[in-house]
Amino acid sequence: MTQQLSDRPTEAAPAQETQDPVARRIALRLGIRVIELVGFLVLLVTVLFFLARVQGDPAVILAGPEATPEDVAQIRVIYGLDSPLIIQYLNFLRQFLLFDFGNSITERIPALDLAAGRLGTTLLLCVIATVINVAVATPIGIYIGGGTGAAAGRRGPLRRVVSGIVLATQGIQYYIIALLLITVFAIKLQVLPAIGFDRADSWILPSVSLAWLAAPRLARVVQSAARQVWSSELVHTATAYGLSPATIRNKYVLPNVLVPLIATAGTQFTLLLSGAVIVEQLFGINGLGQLLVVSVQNADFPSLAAGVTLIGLVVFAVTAVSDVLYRIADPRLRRNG
Amino acid sequence: MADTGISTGQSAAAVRSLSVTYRRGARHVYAARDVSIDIPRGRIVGLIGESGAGKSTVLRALLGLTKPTSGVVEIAGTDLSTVSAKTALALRNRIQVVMQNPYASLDPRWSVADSIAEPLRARSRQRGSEPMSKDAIARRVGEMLDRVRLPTSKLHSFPRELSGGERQRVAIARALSVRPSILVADEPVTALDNVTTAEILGLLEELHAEVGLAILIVSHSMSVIAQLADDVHVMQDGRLVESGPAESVLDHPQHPHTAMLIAASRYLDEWDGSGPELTTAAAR
Repeated sequence: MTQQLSDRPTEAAPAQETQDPVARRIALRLGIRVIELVGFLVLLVTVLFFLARVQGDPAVILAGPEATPEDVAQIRVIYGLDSPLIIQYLNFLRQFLLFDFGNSITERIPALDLAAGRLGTTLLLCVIATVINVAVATPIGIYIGGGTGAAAGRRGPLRRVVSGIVLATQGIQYYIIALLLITVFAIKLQVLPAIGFDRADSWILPSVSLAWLAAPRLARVVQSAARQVWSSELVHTATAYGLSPATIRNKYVLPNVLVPLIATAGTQFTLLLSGAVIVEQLFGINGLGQLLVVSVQNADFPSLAAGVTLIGLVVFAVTAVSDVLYRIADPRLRRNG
Repeated sequence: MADTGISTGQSAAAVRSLSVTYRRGARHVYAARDVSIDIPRGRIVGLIGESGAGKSTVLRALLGLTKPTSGVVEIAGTDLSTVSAKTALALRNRIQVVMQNPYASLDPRWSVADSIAEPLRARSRQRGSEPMSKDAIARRVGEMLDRVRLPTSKLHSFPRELSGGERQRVAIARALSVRPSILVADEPVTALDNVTTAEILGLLEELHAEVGLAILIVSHSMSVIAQLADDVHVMQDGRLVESGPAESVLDHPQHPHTAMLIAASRYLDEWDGSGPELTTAAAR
């Protein structure tokens, strides 16, 4: 691990030699990010490694309930489970740093290939859910976030009702919604499939269920941000120019709501990834989430580690992207010069 | 309350018997109660009071940000509630505002030029008003920059690149770009340091003298009011407790609350050494 960590900065070094101070700063930041990422992933798989052992002796689980002690002993040798735990850990870590997770125990193909093959489905599910999340939560949040004109910042009866509904939806778990949606649209009305994720119409129910996990919270974030803008000095001044409430909403409120919107939606993507585990189970989707569940059940540690590492990489990437996005949206976060 | 002995020239704007209440649960809370303030053309009117006295409520009602529960808002002698929305909007355009915190009242995404041009562009877009050409807007922006003594080099700066005083100058230039007859300044120097305060107050005085602008200056600081105002109104708990020409109110306060505010301000001025005389001197 130490060897690998000390290797990383030298990778970024050629870029650092350039004379351009901006390029140098970017390279430096990138280098720090890469070191952070490696440290983060090592920590992640270390926790995972020891947590998996709490489950029980992997050899016994792998051998199955009808195995003889001889079978178990043989499995132990095959999978290297006969050496001391710390040696097993160090071996695993060495392999991990070479990005080699070994073969999946159940599928007998490289675990990384298996996990990568499933990643696409899960990402698609989470991206569609994010689109639904933002598309639904933004207008609702803007609506309940402020009146217009003299009533700016105050809430009429309809706004109160909608606001109450948003609060209530936050209390209904997304998996309950998933079951309700299946009952209504797949079983009663039979207009949408209840299982799979291979056709566009099969995307709808899982994505909506998953978006439910995030949308009420996002709507409330947008609401409070919008209220803040409506009652700001900026808007008061703009009202004095004689701008219409609609213009103020589009030119002042929306752009200023973008930053908390992006930051929250970005964080929520991670939330959606974990929600995907359950949604994939409910809708029988062959995604990464389902792979993780099956791997835990079968003590398939290589697949589990590969899947968790990929998710870790995605979380890291999403965080980095939303970081860049809200720097673009908010000039106050850009550095001078 | 209205017969204050203030010299009543032609009124630029006024609130008459203004009351604003908020519902808090079952109770009605008065933010302003029977307040009458006249802003005569070309005069500087000071409105003073502690935090929560109702100064901001009066200001918000004047700007149309708060609906009066009862009472009248007048601009140029016209009761706004009796005219069409279009006329009311045109009259409202005669009042422009400078807020306390220039950083919060300027959009961080916009350059100085864009900020100052925004009210002009907004007016251009309004139905029934004459559209201004791009060149005319650019010329006016240049004039305004000049008027608030900012160098042209700041034209393409962003708020984050300006000092507090420069930002407040931009806010003033923006307010003046549409040539209002009344400028409302809500605690315009509270967020600024002493030297910058002197500069901004000096600038307001000059603008008043140059273009005959009527100014309503809202402040909790007696020294700010003492330096600028021709007339003074004192508020406490949503009511107007004293009104009159600045010299008589400041030299011979009739109401104990006024006397208290003056004493408090003297104490603070002696304490940090930035009395009204000193500020005036620095502004020259």
